[in-house]
Amino acid sequence: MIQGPLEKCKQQRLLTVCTVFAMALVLLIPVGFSTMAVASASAVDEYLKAYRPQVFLNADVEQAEVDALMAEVESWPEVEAVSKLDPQANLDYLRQNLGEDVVDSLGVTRGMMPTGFEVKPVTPLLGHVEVIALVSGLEARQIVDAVHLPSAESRRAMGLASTMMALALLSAILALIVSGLLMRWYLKTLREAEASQDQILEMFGATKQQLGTPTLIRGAIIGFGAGVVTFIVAAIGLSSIHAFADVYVGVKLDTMTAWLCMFATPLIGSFVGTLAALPLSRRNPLAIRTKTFGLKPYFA
Amino acid sequence: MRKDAPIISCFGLKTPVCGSLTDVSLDVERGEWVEVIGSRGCGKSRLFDIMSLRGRPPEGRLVFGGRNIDRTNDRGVAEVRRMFGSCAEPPVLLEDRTVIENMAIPFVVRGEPRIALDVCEALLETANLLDLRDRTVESLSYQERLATGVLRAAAGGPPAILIDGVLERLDVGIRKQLIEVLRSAHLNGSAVVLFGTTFSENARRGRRFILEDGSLRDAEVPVLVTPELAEGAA
Repeated sequence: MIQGPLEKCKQQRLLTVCTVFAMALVLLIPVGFSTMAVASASAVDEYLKAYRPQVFLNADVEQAEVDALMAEVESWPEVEAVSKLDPQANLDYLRQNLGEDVVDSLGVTRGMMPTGFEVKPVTPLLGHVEVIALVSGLEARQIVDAVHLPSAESRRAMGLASTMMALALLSAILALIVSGLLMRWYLKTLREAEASQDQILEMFGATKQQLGTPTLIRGAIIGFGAGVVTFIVAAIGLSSIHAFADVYVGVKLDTMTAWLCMFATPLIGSFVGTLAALPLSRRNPLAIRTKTFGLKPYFA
Repeated sequence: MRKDAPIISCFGLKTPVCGSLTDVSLDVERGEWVEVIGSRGCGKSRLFDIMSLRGRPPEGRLVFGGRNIDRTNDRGVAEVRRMFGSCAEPPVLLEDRTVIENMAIPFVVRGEPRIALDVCEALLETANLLDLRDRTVESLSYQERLATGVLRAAAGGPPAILIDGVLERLDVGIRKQLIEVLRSAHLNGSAVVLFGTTFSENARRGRRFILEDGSLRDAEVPVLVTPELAEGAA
């Protein structure tokens, strides 16, 4: 009230800078994990879109049996859709890619093309893992000739992306708690440093809300600052990874989602700061003094 | 806030846990000068704390301008506090701030920071202490700190000014100047309540009380000499 809410932060410059960077460091861990998870998930997902689990049926299987199996697979909650692999469509695809002359010279006919279906999972990335497990079990059926599943490498990549996501989620929860505690300690230190000012203000009629507002503003602004620092560091990191993957690995990562995640960090920092400040903004410093006189405080 | 009601009314104040006050009742009318004296440890500071709303009394009722404090919420208590200028001994001041900044605090809380500078400067001039204006509190002597506390309490002419044991600790010259400041506020309609061990030079212009054995006695009422008292005196 007497001075701006950030005046105390400026006076305690070293403490403020350390808090901002410590909080940024804590926030950087989940941002790093989620950025990597999102980037790898996008790459794996692109791959899996082209390699969905396929089920090939015996040549002598009847249409009714095909329909029944497709209906059964489609009824699984993990499966979004089942699309039939039509022999004629397969032959056309072969002709288009290899050339009509080559296909004719090889003597490939419509009857030689496999009958089967392709399974599309409900959840794009993690859903693939569940669907692969379910579809691989179909190989034991008599009417099924073979089951084509994404390669072991792609499954490992999916597993890695899933682990990244789990780690990102876990570290995000931990980071929110740690950064909240860090911010609380910082704001408490500032509040205690200006306890005498609060006592005087309260004595002359300042309300609890008036006394607590600077703490809330500090929490929001310092949290925002920590989020901005996190964003800058993460942006440099992501740009480097993007360039590295493009030049050395030849993979074009879809980083749009990762950028969106990173843009949210200042808001998340601000939210955590405000949340940490909320209980502190309701405390009453004058209560400590009046207790020494054996009188109850007014604002308990 | 009722205009016709006393600015401060205390009924049956008791502090059984910490002793001192056994039964204190007092009405302070608007624009009245009241002085309460008593020996050390008789409970003056506790009564000051209760009357300036620094602490809630364990027993008894407080009414400020017709507003019963027991039925008032936090916001209401803050509103009532804005009607007071109070100074305890030693006064709580912001050490790293200047005298004028400390004096401006009540105006900031009341949302009147624009008029603060002029009013505070005029007050410092009246008390002949204008040279303190830009000095930080940490550079002040104890006497000057006490004077700053009293001037802050009187700044802006609040409806009630309460001072606890400060004036008697001041040198005669500075005390006279501050009494003049308080008299001026009193003449402009502020109620002034002073707590101390001796009455001030202006005490005869108002009501005087003695805090004894946990209750207030009117200093104007003569003490009846009973045979027991006479025997004790002998």
